[in-house]
Formats: sequence, structure tokens, C-alpha cells
Amino acid sequence: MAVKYFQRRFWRWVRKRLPAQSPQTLDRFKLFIFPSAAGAGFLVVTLLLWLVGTNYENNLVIGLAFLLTSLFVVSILHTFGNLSGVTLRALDSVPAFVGEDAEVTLLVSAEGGRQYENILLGWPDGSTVAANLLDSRETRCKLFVPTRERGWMDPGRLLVETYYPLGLMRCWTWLDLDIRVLVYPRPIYGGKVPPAEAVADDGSLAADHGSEDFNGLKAYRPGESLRHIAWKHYARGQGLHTKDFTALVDQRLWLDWEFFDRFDKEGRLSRLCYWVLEISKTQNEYGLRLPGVEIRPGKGLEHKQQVLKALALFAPPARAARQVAA
Amino acid sequence: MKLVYQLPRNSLAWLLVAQAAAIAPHIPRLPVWLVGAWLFVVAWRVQVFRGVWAFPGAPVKALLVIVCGASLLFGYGRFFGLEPMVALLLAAFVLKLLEMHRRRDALVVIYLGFFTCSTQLLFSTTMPAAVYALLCVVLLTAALIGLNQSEGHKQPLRSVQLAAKLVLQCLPMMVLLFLVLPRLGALWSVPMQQSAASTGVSDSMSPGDITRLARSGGLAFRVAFDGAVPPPSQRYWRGLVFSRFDGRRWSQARIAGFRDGPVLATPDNPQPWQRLVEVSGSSRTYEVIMEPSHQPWLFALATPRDYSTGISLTRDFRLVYREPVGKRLRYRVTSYPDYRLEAQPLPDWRLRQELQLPDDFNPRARRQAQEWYRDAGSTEAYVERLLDYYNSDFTYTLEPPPLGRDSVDEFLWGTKRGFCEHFAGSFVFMLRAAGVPARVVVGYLGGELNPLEGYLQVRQYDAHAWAEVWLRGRGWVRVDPTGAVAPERIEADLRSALSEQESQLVSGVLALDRYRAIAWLNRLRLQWDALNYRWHRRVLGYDSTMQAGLLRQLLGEVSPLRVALLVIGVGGAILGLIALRVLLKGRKPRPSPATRQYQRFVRKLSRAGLARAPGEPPRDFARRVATRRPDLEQAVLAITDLYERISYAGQAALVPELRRSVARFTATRNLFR
Repeated sequence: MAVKYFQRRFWRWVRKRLPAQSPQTLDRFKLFIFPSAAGAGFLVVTLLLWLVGTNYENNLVIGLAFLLTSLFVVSILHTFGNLSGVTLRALDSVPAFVGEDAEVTLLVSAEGGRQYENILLGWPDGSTVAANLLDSRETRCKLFVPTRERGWMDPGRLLVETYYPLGLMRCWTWLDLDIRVLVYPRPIYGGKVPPAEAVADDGSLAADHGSEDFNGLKAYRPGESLRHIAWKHYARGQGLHTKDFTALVDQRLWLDWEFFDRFDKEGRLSRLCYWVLEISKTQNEYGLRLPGVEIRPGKGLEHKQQVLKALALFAPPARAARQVAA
Repeated sequence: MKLVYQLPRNSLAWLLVAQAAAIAPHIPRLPVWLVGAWLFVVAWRVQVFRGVWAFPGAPVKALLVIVCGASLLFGYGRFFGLEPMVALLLAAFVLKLLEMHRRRDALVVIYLGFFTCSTQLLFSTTMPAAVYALLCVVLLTAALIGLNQSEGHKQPLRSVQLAAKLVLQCLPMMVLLFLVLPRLGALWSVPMQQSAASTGVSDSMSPGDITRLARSGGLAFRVAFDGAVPPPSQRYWRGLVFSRFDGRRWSQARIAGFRDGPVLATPDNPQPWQRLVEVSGSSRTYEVIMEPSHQPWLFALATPRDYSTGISLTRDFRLVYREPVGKRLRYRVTSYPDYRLEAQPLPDWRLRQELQLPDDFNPRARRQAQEWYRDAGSTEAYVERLLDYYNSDFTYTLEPPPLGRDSVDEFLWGTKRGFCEHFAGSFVFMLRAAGVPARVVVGYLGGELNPLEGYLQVRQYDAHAWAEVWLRGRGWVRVDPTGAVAPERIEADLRSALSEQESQLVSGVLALDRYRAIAWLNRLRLQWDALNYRWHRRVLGYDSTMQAGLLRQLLGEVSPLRVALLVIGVGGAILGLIALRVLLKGRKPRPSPATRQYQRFVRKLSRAGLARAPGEPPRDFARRVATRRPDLEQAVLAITDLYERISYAGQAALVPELRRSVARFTATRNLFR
């Protein structure tokens, strides 16, 4: 209880001290430094050496213990120097689907001629990347951070730390680089795309599966409908194949919120998302209809991103929300 | 399969180098098999790194540990003791390589390396050893740096350069701590080096012993006098007194043989027999820095009165330390050259001690002694008679012929060639045979003055044996029969007393003092020794007394507050200077010509409203510009291409072309076209 309270106080203090901003240059107001576990071990070694030197009355061993003490102290400056003066800037982020890792690109740069090594960047639950500024003044780092729900995600404070050069000290900070990552809904298989009855901008329904044209055979993949398996071929020992039908229907599809009325809001969005991904592999044009949102049919990368973004950010208007609830 | 952490190449390489450096000075002391095991383990670890072999499994590791531990125990017979403990440390240091799975294991190896590096200093504290230890610390630091660099670091020299820089930055701070931090003496007793061969004069003397010593150039001790340095003939450093003779060997009188109280006297525990010495006249005070001899006896001029703590006076009025001198020892002594020792008539038991001779040896010498003594009439005249005999046709030589059973007879009337122990031994024999109490004294005679620092260095080849004769009313008087044969030995040094050919035998091959004739080489030798002397006195001998003196000099009055202020003030200044160096922004490197041209090109585009985003790669930027301004596409792509070819493909010859293209390039729309 008390621990939680102090944690809250601490993070409030960090937020106040290190407000969200990009770019940020690290300086003594933003950095923390403390001996690492290895540093504590090093101090124990130093103390033992001092004991050996004192007991043997050997000035050289005592001197060696003092040399290691100085090394410990001087490494504070060097470790601090390995972060101080570094500028971090959020460049861009690549949207991801829920459950995937989103990719964020950071630019690590430094003015002046100093060299930096092994600066570790990462989110607590994401991957950690090491940045070096040896003979260049800037370097781009790609970081990955796991996603949990759709919409704009704030990956939290980025942990920037370094143990360089001796590992005896840990210098670190938590930076809020004002990063937002767009997270699309998790795609969930929503039936074979597109359902014949789903299309037709002009209102006329396409025929059911029986009227689709037989297009050939392809290898069976687990999860496909058993209805389309070419059992005759299987009986002849030629393995499982699926009869492939092509729906030669209207090329312009409307993906509609109402298709999946048996699912809840996230379920509908996930299935719509799956369809968007499937249709955008073809040359077909498609549009999106959500309560309060309508995107005219189109195609291409930008259109796809626009549709996915609409799915990611969709929040039902009050009336639609009631309908879903009912 | 478990994912195995692979130690970065750079780190492993430096770790192995640092380990080799830390182990190397121990190799002569280690059992050979341990060195073999080390090389084997290193080879194994390298094979693991290359992915050829796997790490050993638990049974193999357990076997290795048991075999190494048992071999050490059998080899040394014990674990408690400096050498077995160091060997055990080294075995752990070596075997841990095979268990280096994680970063933490590598850290343990490096920390063990620091220990190994320190144990090397327990065996040797010379200046080169200290410099070498510093080198080891640099290498270990490089390994530590390697461990904290990114994997795939390709510049191993950077690690060691940085390590050297760090260690150099630490030195001023180390000196400050060394000078100022308080010294507590030994907190508890620790095992000392044991197997080391004792050096210098030993506790018995048979013909040839001192001759062997004389061929060694090793340093025995250095002496700094508070006042003037006495002339060479006064520099008789008494070490041991031999009163027992068994026909071949001279050795010390049995402790139990003394019947007037304990044989050792200390300032806290004075003994009645100390009254037997009377001193008069001026005294000489001097400081001796003795090299480890692994023997307890110390060396002093006759006759010592005041001496440092830890030292006792023996019944035969010489000094011994409380334990064998296992490391360099510094002590101060005040001696009185004018003394009367046991001047009263000796009691019977003392006479028996100082007249003892084995019965059936050297019959001719016994006969001759009684005859000559009768002829001489007095003890003094008899001594003169003996010295005259030595002076007649004896030769002082480093290569005396071997002697048989009746060694005194054979030497006095046969070979007539001998070194100091032959003269002293036969002389004392002849005196005792004539009923005159006499004994052999062993120690060093002389010492070379270092004119740069004004101290004497006494080397093993200064080892000497002489005699003390008891004269009625005068007590023990020093008589050196060698002086009758080779007066140069007493007035100058050994070398001048020997033939030119024989003097080449003195001292080891490496001793520079064989080349005394070459002036600059001799000067270099003296300077080197003076440096060593200062090293021993100021660095190795720096103790709480010297520290108190230094602090008084610096602070006036010594108080904890003032010392703390000194540490904070000076330490802060040192750290401040390092911080300035580390943290101040280095000078911005001047961009390359190609980069300067490219920046000019980016500025031109930026004026036309096409700014380059921070960190945007040139190619991405070019494509973005091309989509917004198709009219510029060709020029932009051409310039970007040139820039990339110069920067990344190293085609520096293209720079002029880039300059021309950038100069021609214009991004503003030409309205009048």
C-alpha cells in the first residue's frame, strides 16, 4: 500500500520533472546515476584488496585498492558523460495490429565531437536496442513495443540507460518522447471474402456460392470450409484440394458494420479489419460504412490506411452504442 | 536447446589477454601441471567461442575442480599458506573460464583477475613489478570495457586505449588516497611466503659457504646514516656469532648453553647480562632497509644500543627480528663503535663455550698452536704471530681448492689458498687450541656508497667472516685475519682484493656493476639504484609515521576535520578537472567536403520550401522532393547519387563534380522560362 503510494508520488514527480517532449537533450537535470550490482561487487573486491594490503602491510596492494577506488569514482563521470548531451527524437512509428509489436523509429544524435557507446533504449516490456555514436553524429534506432488495444497507443516512458564504460554505474532516465502509435484492430477470420450477399453498391444481390464460377483447384489449407474440398481428388489419393471459385460480381464492395451483427463492437471491427486486408490484396475497390463513418470505395495503400485508421479509432456514436448493447 | 549467451568477441579477447598477463608473473612459482591446465582451458574456451566444442557438463567440471584441488593439496601438503592459497586462487581463476556462460561469470573472472594481480605484489614489490601490475589493471579494465560494449564491436584497440586513459585519470586520486587515508597496521596475522629460499648468510658456516655468496650480486640491505658515513674498514655488519665447531661446520652456541637468563632481551624485557657491555664516545645512528632474507637475524654495527620495535638483542649482542624477514624490513639502530664487551673474567661455563673444539680433528694445528703460544708469551703476541703467518704466503681467492677431513691442517700447511671463512675459521681454531677464547662472526663488510642519495648498498658479495678474540681486561675484540692476506678487502672492497680474472666471478651476469669502468653505465647503475632506494623508502616504506609527518607539513595541525577538508578539496579539484575533460563537448568535427556540399544543397531546397526532416536519409529525402517537384527530379537524384557514392563508396574523386552540380542547382521556379 505504502509502496504503491510512493511509486505514484515518484512517477508524478518524474512526470513533472521530465515532461513529454520531442526532441529532448539529456542533461544533468534529466539523468539519474547509481552504482550497479557489478559496481557493488567491485567495491567488495576493492575492500578485500585493501584488507589484504593492510594485513600484509604491503603498500603496493593498498595502492592497488586505492586505484580501484578511484576507478570506481572516475567511472561515475564517464558513465554520466555517456548519456549527457545525447539528443533523442521520435521520428515516426509504423502502425501495428493488436497483439503485434509496433515499430517506432528514434533518432539518437549528439552535437560536438564526443563519442557515445552502448546506449540502451527500450520500453520495459518491449525490445532493447543499443545505440552507438562512434564516428557518426546521429543514428536511427528501430524499437518494437507490444500493443494491447486498438486506437492511439502511448508506449509509456522510454527507458534510456547506459552502463558504459565499466559497468560499475548505471546512468538512466525515463523519457516521454510524446510518441503515439496507431494500433489497428486484431484481424479475425470473418468468413470467405467477400460474402456474395454483402456486396453490390446498386442493391442487387449476387448469387450464392453455387453460381460462382469454378476456377480450379488449390491445395487445402487448414481452416478452409470443408464444403469446398474436392473429395473426388482426395479419394483418388491426390491429397486434399479445395475447389476454388471466383465471384465475378461487382468490383466495388461496401464493408458494412451491419454484416456481423451477432458480434460485439470489437468482434465486428476485427472481422472488418480482416476483410480490408483480404480485399486490399485484390484490385477491387472497397468502401467502409460504420455508424457515423463512411468512406467512399477506393483502392491503394493510402485508401487502405485510411480505412484501417477509421477502424482503429472508431468509437460508436451514442445511438449506435445503445444498439450494440441491445 | 537453451539460448546461450555468447560473450562478445572483443570482451573475450581482452579477458584472455588480461588473464595471461595476470598469471605470467606467477608461472615460476606454480606447479607445471597448473600452467598446462590453464593453456588447455584457454584452448577449450576459444573452441567454445568458435562453436566447435561445447561447454563441459557438470560431471566434467566437478572432476576438474576435484582433480585440481586434490593436486594442489598433495603438491603443497596444506592449504593454509601464501603459495597454496595463491595457487588455489589461480586454479579458480583458470577454471572459471569454462563456466563463463553469462555476463556475470565474465565479471567474476575479471574480479578474480584483480585479486591475482594483487597477489603478484605480495611476492615482488620492485618498481618493475608495480609497473607491470598497473599494466595488468589496464588490461583487466579493457576486458571490463569490452564487456560493456555493444556486441559485434570491431575496434578492440579502442577498449584498451580507453582503459589506459581511465587508469591514467585515476592515478592522481590514487596518490591522494595513498598519502592521506589512515594506515592501520596488520589487523590479523596472515600466512607469509614460505617456500622461498632464504638468502644471505645462513646459521652455519663450512668452507665454501661464503665463497658461494660472494658470487651473487643480490642486494642484502641498504643503509642510510644520519651523520657521516664511516670509512669502509669500519663497516663490519655483524649478523651471526658462531661458537660451536664440529670439525667442519661452525654454528651458533646452543641457546640452552647460556646460564645467565633468557638469551633475548627487548626494551620491555631487559636482561641482567646486558650490563656486560659498556659503551663510551660518540654513537652512529642509521636506518637499514633490509631485503627479505627469510631468516630472522638483522645486521648492525657493533655494538647496538637502541633499535626499532620488534627487534631483540641476543646474548651474543647482535639483533634478531621477531620472525623471519619475509618482506622488506626497515629498522633504525644506534651503535657505539667504542665498547667493552664482557670485559670481566669469563665464568667457567662461558670459557667452555668459547674454547670448545672437537677432540680428534686437526692434530697438527693443535700442536702448532700450543707451541707458537708458548713462544709468543702473550695472547696479543700470539695473535700477531698468527697474522704474520697468514701474511707470509697465503692467497685470497674465490676459488679455493677443496679441503679434506682435517680442514684446518690442510689449509694452514697445505693449500694456503682460501676465502674469508677459511681464514676466520682456522684463526679461531688456532686461538682456541692455544686456550684463547675466540669465536667466528659472520655478516657483511663494506658496502658501496651511492653518491646521489648518500646511502650504502650492501650486496651479497660483501658477505664476510671474521673473528672476535677475548682479551683479558678488554673483552671481545674484533680481529680480521683476512686483512693480513688482502688488506684491500677491508680498505676498499672484494673486487679490488681479487685478481682481475677472479673479480669477474663476483656477482651475477646481469649486474651492471661489472662494468664500473664505463663511466656513463656506472652512473646509470647508481641512478637506477638511487631510484630504487627512493622507491623503497618513500613508497614501500610509507607508513603511519611518515604519513603523520607529511600531514603535519601540509596542514600544520593534524585533525580529522582538516584531513577531510584536504581530501575533499584536492579530490574535488582532481575530479573537476576530469569532469571538464569528459563532459565538455568535444570540438565539433569539421564535416567532410562532400557533406558540406550536400548541406549547401539541402539549404537551397529548404529556401524553396522543401526542408529535410531531421534524420531523414538522403535517398528518402530525394524521393520526397521528386514527388513534390517532378521538375527537379533529375537534378536531385543526380546530386544525391553523387553524395552517396562519395560518402559510402569512398569515391572521393567525385567531389569536384558534386561541387559543380550543387553550384548549378537551383530550386526556385524559373518564372520566365
